[in-house]
Amino acid sequence: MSNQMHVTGDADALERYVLNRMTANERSQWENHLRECAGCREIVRSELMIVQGVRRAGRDALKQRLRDRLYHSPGDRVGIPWVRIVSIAATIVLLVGIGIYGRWLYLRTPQEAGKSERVSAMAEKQDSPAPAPTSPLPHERAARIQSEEQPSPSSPSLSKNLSSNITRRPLATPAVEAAAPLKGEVAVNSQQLPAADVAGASSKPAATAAVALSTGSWAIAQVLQDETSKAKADAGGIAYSTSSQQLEQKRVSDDRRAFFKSASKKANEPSQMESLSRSDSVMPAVPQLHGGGLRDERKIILSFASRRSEEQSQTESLSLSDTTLPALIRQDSSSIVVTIFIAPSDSVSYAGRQFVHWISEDSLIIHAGVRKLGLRLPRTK
Amino acid sequence: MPIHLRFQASDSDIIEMVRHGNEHGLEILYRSCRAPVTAYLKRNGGSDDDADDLLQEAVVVAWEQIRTERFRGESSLQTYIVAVVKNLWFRRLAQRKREKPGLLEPDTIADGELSALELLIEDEQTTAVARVMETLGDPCRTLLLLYYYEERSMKQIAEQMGYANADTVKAKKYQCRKILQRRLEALENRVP
Repeated sequence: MSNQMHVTGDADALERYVLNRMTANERSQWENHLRECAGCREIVRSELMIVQGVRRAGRDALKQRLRDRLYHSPGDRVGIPWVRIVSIAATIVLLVGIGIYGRWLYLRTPQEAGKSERVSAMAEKQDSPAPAPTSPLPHERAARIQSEEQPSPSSPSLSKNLSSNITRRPLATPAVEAAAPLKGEVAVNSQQLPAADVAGASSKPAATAAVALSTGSWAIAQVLQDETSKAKADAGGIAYSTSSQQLEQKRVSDDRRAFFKSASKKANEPSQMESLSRSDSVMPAVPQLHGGGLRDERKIILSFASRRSEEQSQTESLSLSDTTLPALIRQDSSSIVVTIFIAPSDSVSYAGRQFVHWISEDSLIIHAGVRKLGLRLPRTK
Repeated sequence: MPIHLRFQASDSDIIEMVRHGNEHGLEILYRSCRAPVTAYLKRNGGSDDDADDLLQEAVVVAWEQIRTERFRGESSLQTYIVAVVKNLWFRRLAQRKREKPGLLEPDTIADGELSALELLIEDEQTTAVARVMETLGDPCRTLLLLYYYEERSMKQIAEQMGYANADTVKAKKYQCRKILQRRLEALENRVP
């Protein structure tokens, strides 16, 4: 490039020079000229200043956009640590979820447990034959007893034979056969079941006939205490200074003391039995009710039956009064069946609410409605 | 201190984003390089503010290099950024030394090297151009940025900005340069 060819004459070449787009040879020529041309150097410097200024503008704008992204991006907007907030929120949700799940488990377990027990009981019920819709009449029960006594249960004239057998049987000796086979019986504690469940389970022995119990014996169920009369007495001014637990212990102790005192005199003493004077001919059929408890690892099965004319002959020689009731006790190796014949004037409903109050080696105290009944149980075989 | 998400984009992903003008690549680059840059500058007398400033500058340099196809990919982007930060930091340290009294003596400046005064004047002039650029509206501002900063060809600018052809862009650029020149002269005249 000659001195006459100043850079100002070629705008495109000037731009290529400042933008570094010249070839090495061309650039070398330009630089040789610029060393000799001060005016050209000023023009080039001015052009470079423009280019650098525009680039600075572009760079500043880009940096500003970068800062905007860094400090005003959704993750950093107004300095709120969203990630940390989300972490804390997730932790809270997790803890609440665990709490809800734990509470659900806590609430579910007893319900499910109860449900599974009921389901199990129902399954066992379904395994056994369907219960009779109503309690069998006394003569039908007697027929069943007779049928279990007989080697051939298919005899059509059992009912008549049984009636004659019962009337011939001495009362003070264990002569009555088992009426209710207990195979498949649900071992429940009567205190855990409502009256309806107890009543429902009570009909099962009447419908099953698989295992015969040993011969039964008549006993006296001693009416220990009438809750209604006691409540009246309490209302009359008897004050207890002890706690409710101590009171309950005292009541149990009193009940046992009264029961043993009475039972020792009357149980198994036919000579002292009173005659049955009440008429129970109008008593309707009563569903059997029973509850159970554990005694010597044997099930205690309670059932209540109304005193019908058929049993009257069996129980008339038993000691009966307002404070005693006849009871039939049968047993085998796994269970003891206690059937208490309630007075016709008593409502079956109160008997249906019975539950075991006390069980010992030789005695049983149950709540029967507003009453408590004490029974001396046969010795373990 | 907010917790930042770590982005797991590869270098090729970032380069591709930058090539397509996606500025999200800048953010990814910045966040991925902040820890090593801050550690380096703190070891060498810098502060968090220095790290923030220089890293932004280095990321922009990387952006420019990628956009102008000058980044050859011989090293990873993080290594490249850290190297740029080191150069910028050395330059800033040298500039701080020059700003001390006595360092502006002529005999202390090597031949061919601009003095601190000349550098200061040059910096003021380029700052003035940048300030005038801010006053330019579109399309001049965009056109000049594409041509000088992005170093796009006339044809590319025509396609991007919707001009008929490269000649049209060339004519438009000439007009914009004139406007910039006039405003710059007006600015210099206002300065006492």
